[in-house]
Amino acid sequence: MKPPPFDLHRPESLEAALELRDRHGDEAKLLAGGQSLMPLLNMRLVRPSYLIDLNRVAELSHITMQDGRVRIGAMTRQRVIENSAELASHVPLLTDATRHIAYPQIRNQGTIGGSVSHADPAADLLPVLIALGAELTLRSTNGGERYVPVQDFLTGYLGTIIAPQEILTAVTIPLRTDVPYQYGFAKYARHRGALAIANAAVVVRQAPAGSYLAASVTVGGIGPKPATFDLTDRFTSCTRGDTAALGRAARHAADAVADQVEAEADALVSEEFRRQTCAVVCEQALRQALLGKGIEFEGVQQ
Amino acid sequence: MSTHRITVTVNRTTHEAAVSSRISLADFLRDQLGYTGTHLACEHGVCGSCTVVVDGRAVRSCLILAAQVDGRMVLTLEGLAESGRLHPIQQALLDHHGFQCGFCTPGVAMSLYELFQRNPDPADDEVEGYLSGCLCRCTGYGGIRRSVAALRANAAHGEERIRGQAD
Repeated sequence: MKPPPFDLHRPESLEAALELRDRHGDEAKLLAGGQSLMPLLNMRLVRPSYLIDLNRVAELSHITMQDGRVRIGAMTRQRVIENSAELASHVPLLTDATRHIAYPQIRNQGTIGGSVSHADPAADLLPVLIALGAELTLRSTNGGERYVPVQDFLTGYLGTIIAPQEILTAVTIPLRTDVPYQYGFAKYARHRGALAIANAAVVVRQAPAGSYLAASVTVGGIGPKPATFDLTDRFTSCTRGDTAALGRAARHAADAVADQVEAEADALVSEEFRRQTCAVVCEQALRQALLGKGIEFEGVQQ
Repeated sequence: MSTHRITVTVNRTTHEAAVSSRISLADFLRDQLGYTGTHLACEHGVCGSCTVVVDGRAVRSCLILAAQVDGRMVLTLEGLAESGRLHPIQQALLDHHGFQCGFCTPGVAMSLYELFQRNPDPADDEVEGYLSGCLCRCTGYGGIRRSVAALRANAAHGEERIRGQAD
């Protein structure tokens, strides 16, 4: 199992990479961490004439806090993200979920931008980035730049709106500053490190008076792209700390989400199994966020 | 198909080579340099047999191109033992029957190398994370886990420190 022949480019600047991207267009694939693209090449499921390796482009690897947002360079390794104390204190949902991606040996090489661009509907980062309201920066030559929310970037199974001359350069996440937020992430897979059969990311926003202002869940692994459900109505009348009532509300909300998703069958599981698994991970993620059994986050001072 | 001139340090020896663009690091190590201790099985990143350490990090050598290790430091199973003495990881695997059939062993050893370089007394969860990335088709992780337990005990008693290159 060896890749088909291709010409390899190893540019050392974003400018050079963009120039190559412009020159080769559809005939080239961008190589980030390679943890999804290299298997596709080895299995000859993709046959690009050119590979543009971004691993030498140092300017694509960074974590920057600025103006109430965190900007993560597209080539930042998943291992760097999960071990970042700065990210753990500002966006714990991201660091927590990143640890669920495959194995340390894969995360050592895999990148945030590569994972988003590969657009596997079972990727753990996708529901998380959507739940966090992340936005992607797409660069093209002549300094052209556009900003696209993650959910608008994805078109379906392994599909995105990126143009052949563009490069995904950064993922920007707004930092929550006003009121406390609580997060949850849950995943079900056949074994540790396997791709998710279903995963769920929850963001809950507390109300000052002891209830909740907003709640939503984004589920992945179910259909061709992650889906977000607003659950605010289900929690505004709940009181924080009322574990019994919150547990019940979480259960009912999770069941309602599972009823609405368009679950797909695949070689591993039936549609019904996936739907039920969706209910389970939604409930786990909600309980984590609401009952403080998971990651909790107190907000950031600007 | 492009050809690339690379300079790479493998097991403390510097090699200069011309590599074809599509040659993986695993095939380069095995076929061009003769380091056949790196085993290839699934060739799509799932099994972990081909795991080697590049600049201190355990990575799949089937998912990296040889051209990409230009200027970098690679450590393979052959580089663990020094001066005819087994590395503590190899000794622990030997003492506790962690080798079993031996096919996944190179990946297990190199994964444990990174793990213990970072933390001589890793938490259970951390150990499980690394071992989940190593597929043993003997399906018996008992020996491997006992080897890890011995390495942790060694570290706790300060008897056999894990040696190796710094990150």
